Amino acid sequence: MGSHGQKGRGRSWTFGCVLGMAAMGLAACGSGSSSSTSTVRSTPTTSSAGPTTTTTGGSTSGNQAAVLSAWQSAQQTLYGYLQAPWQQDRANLVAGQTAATLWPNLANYFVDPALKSEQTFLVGVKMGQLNGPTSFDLGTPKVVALAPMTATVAGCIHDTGTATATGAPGPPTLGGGAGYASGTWDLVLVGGTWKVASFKTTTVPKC
Amino acid sequence: MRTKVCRLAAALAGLALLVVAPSGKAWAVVGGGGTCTDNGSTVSCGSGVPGTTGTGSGGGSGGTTTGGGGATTVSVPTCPNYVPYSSEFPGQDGGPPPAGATQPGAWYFNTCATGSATSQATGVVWLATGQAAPTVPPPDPAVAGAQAASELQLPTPTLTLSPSTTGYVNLAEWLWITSSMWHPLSTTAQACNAGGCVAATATATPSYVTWDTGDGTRVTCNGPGTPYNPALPATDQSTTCEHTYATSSAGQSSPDGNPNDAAFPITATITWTVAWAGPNGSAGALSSLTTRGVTSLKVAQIESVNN
Repeated sequence: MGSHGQKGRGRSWTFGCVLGMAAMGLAACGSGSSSSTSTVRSTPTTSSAGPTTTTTGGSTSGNQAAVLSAWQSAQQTLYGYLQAPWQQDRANLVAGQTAATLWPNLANYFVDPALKSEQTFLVGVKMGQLNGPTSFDLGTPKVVALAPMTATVAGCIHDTGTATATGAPGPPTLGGGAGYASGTWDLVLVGGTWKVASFKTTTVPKC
Repeated sequence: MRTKVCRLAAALAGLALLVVAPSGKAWAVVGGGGTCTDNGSTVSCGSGVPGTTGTGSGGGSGGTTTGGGGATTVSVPTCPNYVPYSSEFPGQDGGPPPAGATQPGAWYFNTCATGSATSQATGVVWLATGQAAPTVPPPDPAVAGAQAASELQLPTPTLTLSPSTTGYVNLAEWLWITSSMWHPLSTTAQACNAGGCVAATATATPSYVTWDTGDGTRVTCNGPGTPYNPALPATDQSTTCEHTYATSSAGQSSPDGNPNDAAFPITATITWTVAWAGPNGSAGALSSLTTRGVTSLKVAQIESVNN
């Protein structure tokens, strides 16, 4: 517990920081420690089959629901790819296929830099011959900020972490070990669809 | 880990900032007054630290940054941009090499950052020691075009006839499909490889409709046909898509099993011409597609008595 997604933590912090730097003058970039940040690998309590769309002119509650739905779909999509057997994905990577081809639905719910962060994490998990988390819980995410084109979701999630073929936890840098993570995800409205653009999470003892 | 992470952060931030910064050092912050530095063990991101010049991204051999009095420019890594696997995944080597690979060697991670999407070609490659990283051209736009064509969702035509319930021998039957679906449809798809991604748009345009009227006749119409308007006199209307039955439908199969309802099965097939268009004027034609709708029509014989 508390050690999953170490690698992802670094990535999420990194990319979250990138946006932060661009928007806020780098003020937050050096404020964290790598041991306290994590990538969240979560699952939604609800799901949708495709990108979630909304309109900027919609009601606040409607937009909040759209944001949460997009966030949940993003997490579910990510988990779905994580839980797929690594053998075929690794074989495809070895054969030269790209993340964009192997996991095309990520682009429905993520944009760079979060998209690349998740793609990179998946490459690491699959090349590392790891099985994805067997279970996960998204908790009860909330929309804590909402503007016409941006939104922030806060939540706390749990998963059982990646594991090796023998069932041992995967490397901490590749999400090994069960744990809880609390964090925020920044979403942007792209073409009428909310997508996760960056995120920053912190390992916590319990949600 | 920490150092590496923030170095990458700083590099990426620098790249991001350069997009909007008209001048200044790579790490200068637009409007924020802060800078980000990395001395190899400590990363400081905040105000009051003298700016430094970035040296690339992600520990790789990628972008170089130059700056000075004029506009800042940066060479963004192109695809593919291979960096040692362990630099992207500390402590990991990517696992066993592919079958038949030359050894010794190592896995490399492709992290390119062309355009605005840095995720375009994320992947891996095995390179023998001393082997140069391969140059991979981006996909042929035709591949993306074919992919887009395969994702086209063309509507099934809705068939309408007049007379609609029962036709008559020697009376012209008007044939048409819903005109609202008679327009081009497009879909865009992306093809990616280690060299990057290419997008192309496939467009399907309805070309003609082939009606199989069930009596052994095929009628080809170069359009959706003309709806019959019962509010207008028949003499004031005309169509270019019609068929006149010479025989009744007696003896045909019946949709409801009642021999009195025997009807001709009618099929309308729309043929769509398909073409794709990609970047830099690239374009091409693809195999045509068809969509098909079915209905049936009872055709009666009007009896007449000759005196």
